[in-house]
Amino acid sequence: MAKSVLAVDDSQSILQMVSFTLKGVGYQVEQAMDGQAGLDMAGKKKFDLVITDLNMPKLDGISLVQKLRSQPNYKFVPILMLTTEASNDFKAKGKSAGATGWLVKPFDPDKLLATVNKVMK
Amino acid sequence: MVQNVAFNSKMSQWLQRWRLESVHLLVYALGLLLLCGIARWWQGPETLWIAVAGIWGLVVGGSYTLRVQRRAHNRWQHVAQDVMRLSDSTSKLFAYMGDQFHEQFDGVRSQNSQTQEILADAIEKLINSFTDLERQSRRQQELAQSVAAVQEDDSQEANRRNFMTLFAEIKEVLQQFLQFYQNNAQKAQGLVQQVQELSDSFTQVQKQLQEVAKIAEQTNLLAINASVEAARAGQAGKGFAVVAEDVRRLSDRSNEFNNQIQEAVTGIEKSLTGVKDAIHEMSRQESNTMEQSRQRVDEVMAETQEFSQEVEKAGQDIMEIAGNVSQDVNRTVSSMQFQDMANQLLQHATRRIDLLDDILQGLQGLQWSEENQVEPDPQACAEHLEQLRQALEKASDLVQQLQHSAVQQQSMDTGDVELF
Repeated sequence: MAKSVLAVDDSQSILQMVSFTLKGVGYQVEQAMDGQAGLDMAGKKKFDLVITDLNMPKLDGISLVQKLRSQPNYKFVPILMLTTEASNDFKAKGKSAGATGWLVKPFDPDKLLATVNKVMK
Repeated sequence: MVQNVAFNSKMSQWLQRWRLESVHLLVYALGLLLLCGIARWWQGPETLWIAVAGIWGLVVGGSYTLRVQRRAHNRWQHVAQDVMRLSDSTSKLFAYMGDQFHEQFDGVRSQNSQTQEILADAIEKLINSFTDLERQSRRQQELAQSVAAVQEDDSQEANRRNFMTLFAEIKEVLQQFLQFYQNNAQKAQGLVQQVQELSDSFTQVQKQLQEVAKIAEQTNLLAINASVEAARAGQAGKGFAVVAEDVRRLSDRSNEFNNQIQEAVTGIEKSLTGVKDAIHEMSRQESNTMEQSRQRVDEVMAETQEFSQEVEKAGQDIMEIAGNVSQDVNRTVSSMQFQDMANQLLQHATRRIDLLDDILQGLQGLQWSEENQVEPDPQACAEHLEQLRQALEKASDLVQQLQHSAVQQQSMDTGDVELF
């Protein structure tokens, strides 16, 4: 059965590029346009991986990671931050919130795939 | 702003000067009191002079002090009116600037929003075109691979082996076919030889038949001679004449039978010659056909091998192109993310515009002078300046907060990955 991925980003183009990259190798990708929508979707179904942006309306990426980590279902699910933000301060916040990794946009499809495969093992 | 600071400095200067001259007046009064005290202590004739000097000092000091006070008051009035005019002008300037900038800010916000909409529309169409193009490219690649029977890695080698095996089998079948033809040609040559030998045998038979014919002819001649001798013998030779006649008839029949056999043998010989010629012609044609076929098979095999190599080369080219397409797709996926970055930068620019608008509106809302104020009020003026200072300090804090932009990238180079 195909592994499921939840992609959360307020940019439609990023969501489509992430889906394009992951669907091409067999992942099943669902999309959410803001942090709150992502949290709602994660509450209805357990995903095998979450990829989230940092700056989003309604609920930012760091808060989303914190809320997901507080749920038993997502205690050990890998969560990747995919954002334009590259400062160490924000990375430290992400790590502290429970993120598994940090990818700086624009992402390279091969690197994204390699990272996803690595954290999904 | 610079005007306000200059005004503040000028006003402080005049106030200080007013305080200094008040101190001078006080010193003069104290000096007069001191002289009066000394005159009273001496109580001598100098007292009058001292008193006169004291009165003179009082008059001069008082007069000077009053003049300074009047001049300071006039200057203060002048400055205060300048201040009031400046405040009024500043207030009007901020109101004007606020209106003008607010209009400009609205324009920038509108254009930012328009740019974001255009980018969103463009990126949607770009992505749709890209995904469609990629799908068609992939399909084209699959078809090309299918036609060229070229697959990746092991399957490519397996297909190549399959093709070479098929090629070898076809070649073997054709070689067997040629061998079969060659064997047939050799057998035909043997058949021709056998027919020739048969024909020679019949020729020999014909020669023997000719000998038989000669014997029959001699027998006939002997029978005739016997008949003649029998007739010469008379009655006694009658019996012998009958025998001689029978012998002659037998000879005729033998000769006739010999002729019939000879005709039959000649017919057989002709037929054998025809068969021999036919087999020989067939053998010759087979040899020609076989040689031509062998050459054609060799040509076809060479062409097939060349075609196979071309197909293999085409397959390799297709794989190389597929690799290039894959790299292009990756680059395109990375570049397509420009809209997200541009959108974030535009949002940040809009937030900065909003902030500047707020700051300007705050400055517009500041009170620069009391309503219907005629006389200057230093205390109110100082309060207004303090309000301005606080407003600018608050604005500075807000500006500092928006200094950080989430997008620091200067190009579309792909970002780093860090796993915690």
